[in-house]
Amino acid sequence: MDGEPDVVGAPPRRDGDRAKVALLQVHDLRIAYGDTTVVDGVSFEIGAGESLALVGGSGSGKTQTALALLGLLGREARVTGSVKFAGQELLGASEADLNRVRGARIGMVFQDALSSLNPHLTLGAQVAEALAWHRKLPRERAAAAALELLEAVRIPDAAQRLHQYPHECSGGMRQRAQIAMALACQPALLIADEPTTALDATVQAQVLHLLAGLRERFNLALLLISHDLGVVAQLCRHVLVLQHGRVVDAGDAATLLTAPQHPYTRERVSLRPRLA
Amino acid sequence: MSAPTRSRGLWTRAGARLRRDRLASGSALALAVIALLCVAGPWLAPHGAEALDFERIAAPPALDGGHWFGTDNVGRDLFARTLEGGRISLLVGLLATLVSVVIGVAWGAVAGYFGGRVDALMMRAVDILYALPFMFLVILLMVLFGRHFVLVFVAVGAINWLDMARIVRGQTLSLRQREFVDAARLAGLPPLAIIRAHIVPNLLGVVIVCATLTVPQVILIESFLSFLGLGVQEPATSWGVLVNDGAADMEAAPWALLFPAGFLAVTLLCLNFLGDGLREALDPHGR
Repeated sequence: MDGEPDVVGAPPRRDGDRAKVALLQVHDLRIAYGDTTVVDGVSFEIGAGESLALVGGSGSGKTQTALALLGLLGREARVTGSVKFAGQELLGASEADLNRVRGARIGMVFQDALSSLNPHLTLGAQVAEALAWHRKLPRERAAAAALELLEAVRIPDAAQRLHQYPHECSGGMRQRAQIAMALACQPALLIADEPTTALDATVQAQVLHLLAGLRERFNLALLLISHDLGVVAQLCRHVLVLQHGRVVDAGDAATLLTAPQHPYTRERVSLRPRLA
Repeated sequence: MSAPTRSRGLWTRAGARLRRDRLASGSALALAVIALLCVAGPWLAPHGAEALDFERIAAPPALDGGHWFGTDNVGRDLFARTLEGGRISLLVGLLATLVSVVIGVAWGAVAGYFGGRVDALMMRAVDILYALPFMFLVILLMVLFGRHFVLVFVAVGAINWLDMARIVRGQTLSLRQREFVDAARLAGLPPLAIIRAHIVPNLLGVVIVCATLTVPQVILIESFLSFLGLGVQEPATSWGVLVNDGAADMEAAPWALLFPAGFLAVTLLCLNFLGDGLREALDPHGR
């Protein structure tokens, strides 16, 4: 991402090879519902084009963290700390300001594409929607762009699929369409919440391959949320391990996965099913 | 990249499905014929709706003489009156329903989507309107603005959208929890765009069913109001009024009841079939 606005603040803590300025800076993020704290002081940074995985069991606060970044938590959630995207504070930003970032600069992919796609809209309409909104494209241009996007995520017969409804497509196809939607406005950061968990093993491999390819092609930064260390290993350089809403371990994906130090990380690594 | 993009919107698709549904398309056709008859009534009927024929009072239906549906107890032609009444009944039914759908859906969807204080405020307003006695409201309107049947639309519409708003709000509350609404927020769409593009299309099924139930309800309310002397007044008429008058005299002149009641029943039946067909046609999960 050239032409990234200057980011004021501390240089990224992750030293060495990447001296880029962080695209996303999360500092001391805390989320509480009443007396229950679900995320307790999480901090991390992602530079442009970098990848970071949030790993943890269910209830570790990884999805809450992702939703909080984009201001998608309900009113009942109390969120404190700081989330800076390209220097702009997102926590407490107005909906209008958030809407300029969401979709346009940050895209998100959910676990279950069937429920995150509107059953009453065709794939084409949904992919074109963000484009039409953010870029103010006329309908034909947006439709043409949607077709290109569906082709970019390698949906076969994209021209036909454009006019189909989510329930007429397979799970893998829907997940690809969702990725196309998230990428529509060429965001700088993609947040993927368990993007392959609902898919079977072969499709999972294809989607992972696709995501890796797209990252390369669009110089996308990726925040991956997963419980699956196999997926993490394929997509991310850096890993943050969460337990009960706290960061318990952090480091390089390769070292963390081959020689885990922290007991919880070791436990998670040992849980990883090994094939062949 | 090869095939030109065929535009198959929600409605074109639904239209194609509807045409395949014999019952629904037949009902639509029947409704169109009835509506056309009602509109063309004055030119079709050999006698005027208000003309008195003193030679034939309460005459049974007969082909010669031009009183195809017979005459009522003051000698007015029932064919002309049935068509004349249909104009009012259809107008009241459709307009009041349209008003209640538009206001009800907008109100309910906004309240349900925004939730919290907005929702509480909007729904309390609905509760308050609900608590107003309907008859009182109608009489008040009549006193303030004079007696005019347009007021019947206003009064009926003002009451009926309340039900619609409640149903729509309930549906919206559950739709709002769905992930695709989050996905739309994530795409950076503002609330009103989300309501329009994501909430309302998903409400159509419920709204259509509710609307097809509203039309007969409105037609019946109208006849009730007219019976009380608050709605349509003599010599103007509506199906409800004709049925009422016919029922009073049904032993002596059953045709005065049968013809308007037949038109009313066929219309309501067709509306129900059409509504059911539309609901199915608009559901993308259908074939």
